[in-house]
Amino acid sequence: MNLKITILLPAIILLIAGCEKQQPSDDGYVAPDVPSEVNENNLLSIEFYSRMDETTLFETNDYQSVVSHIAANKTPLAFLFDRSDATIGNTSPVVDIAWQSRLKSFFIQNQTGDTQIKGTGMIVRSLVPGFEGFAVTDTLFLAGCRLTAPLSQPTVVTIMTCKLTESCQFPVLVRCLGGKPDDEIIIIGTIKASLKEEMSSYLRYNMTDFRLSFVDPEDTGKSNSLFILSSIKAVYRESKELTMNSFPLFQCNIEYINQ
Amino acid sequence: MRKRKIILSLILLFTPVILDAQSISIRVMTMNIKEGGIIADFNTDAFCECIRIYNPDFVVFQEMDNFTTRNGNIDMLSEMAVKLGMFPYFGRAITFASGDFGNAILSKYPFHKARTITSRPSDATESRACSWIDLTLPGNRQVRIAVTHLDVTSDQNRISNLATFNNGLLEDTSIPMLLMGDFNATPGSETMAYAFLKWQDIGSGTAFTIPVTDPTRRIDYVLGYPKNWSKTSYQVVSYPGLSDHCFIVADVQYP
Repeated sequence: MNLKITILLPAIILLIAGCEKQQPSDDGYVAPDVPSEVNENNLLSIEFYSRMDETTLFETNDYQSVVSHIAANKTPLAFLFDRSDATIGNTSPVVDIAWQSRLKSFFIQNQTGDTQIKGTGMIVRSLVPGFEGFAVTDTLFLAGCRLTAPLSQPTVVTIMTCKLTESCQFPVLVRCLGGKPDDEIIIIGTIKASLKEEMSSYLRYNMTDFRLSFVDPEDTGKSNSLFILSSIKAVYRESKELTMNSFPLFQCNIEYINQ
Repeated sequence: MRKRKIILSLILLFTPVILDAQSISIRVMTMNIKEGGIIADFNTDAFCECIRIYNPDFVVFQEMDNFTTRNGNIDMLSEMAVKLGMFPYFGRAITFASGDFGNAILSKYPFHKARTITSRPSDATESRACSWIDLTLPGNRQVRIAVTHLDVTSDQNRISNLATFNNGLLEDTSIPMLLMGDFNATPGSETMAYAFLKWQDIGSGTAFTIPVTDPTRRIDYVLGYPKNWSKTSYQVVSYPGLSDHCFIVADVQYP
């Protein structure tokens, strides 16, 4: 009996202690300072199309302007289309845009479904060796393409996306990234604006070696913001909010620090 | 009364298991389309018409061209994806004719991971590839759909291909998977003996797959991992206007 108590009691105490929420002992993780000068040769551009709320991006099949825009703009490494929802068995607008643009498409779902699936389309310029992803069903789908960015020296980056609508997704996101994003990872997606502060705070105490930036739409009535989460190797520099016909988009410049 | 309580307890005990255990039930189709679709003159409508007849959840292709001079510099896979309302993934085995040549997958459902690995044994004339996608089906079961086309020259090379592909595919054995395609080997071959060490021959005992008219050999397969897949239907269908291989359409289930 005594032996059992000797073994079990410390084990129970350790278990309880382990289950307690860790209290931050300091101000949490702070990323190193951003280089003051922008290295233009190491900037990569991503176009993120989003209405910044929970409405569908493509209400009709009239996306020829997007096809023309992609054809005319060779700079962006990837094009993302928030809420370019798919209907099972129907042509996905993003697959169609990619085909018409002679590029390759992927689709990162936000949820599972029998017929309608909310998600973010992704178009890239070339065949990719890997489309990496994590699926924690009904909580978080995080996925994206591993590709070579034509920077001052060819650099492999993984451009990923996910949609953050609830705070319960933060621990899952951290777990998927193994507590710290790999050097090559750049995640760009939308977050419910009211969750921005909570995300910053959660990541600060639960993740290391990352940078997090938010971009708010000019229309303050919108419910979502853009977030850019990366390793410390990538620095969000600027974005331009544009509208192409009826499609709002953000042109984001991110610098990759090679040294 | 006591007996009723025991039965009730047993029902309650197993209810979550029963609710969680929605089996995987999918229709798959494998098509070697012969040199990028040359027999059909690279006409995507002809392939789509055939695929529509069977309405598969997944189609895997071997010998798919991507923007080659041979196919008139088109992306046949994406074109078919648009026409069929499916999601495409192309996996390059080799660069060819100013474009790419390899395997491809069309999926009715979005996938969250895709990968291609290649294998070129030292005395092989070219690389062979295995491509796969991971996805969550309606009902929240995950499945991996893989396609390959093994070396044509020798058992030794094919086994070497398979060893490489097994390493990649079976690195994560947490989800059930299907490996389909043209193995360039008959069921009694050394290649298939090696394949069956890990994989289940779901179409065991089914019809020959090549040539497309009066076939004499079975070299196209639907394999499963782990080995408890079952089939409710397994058709070997012949379209001489599309390929030199018969295609396979199979309804498969995983508990």
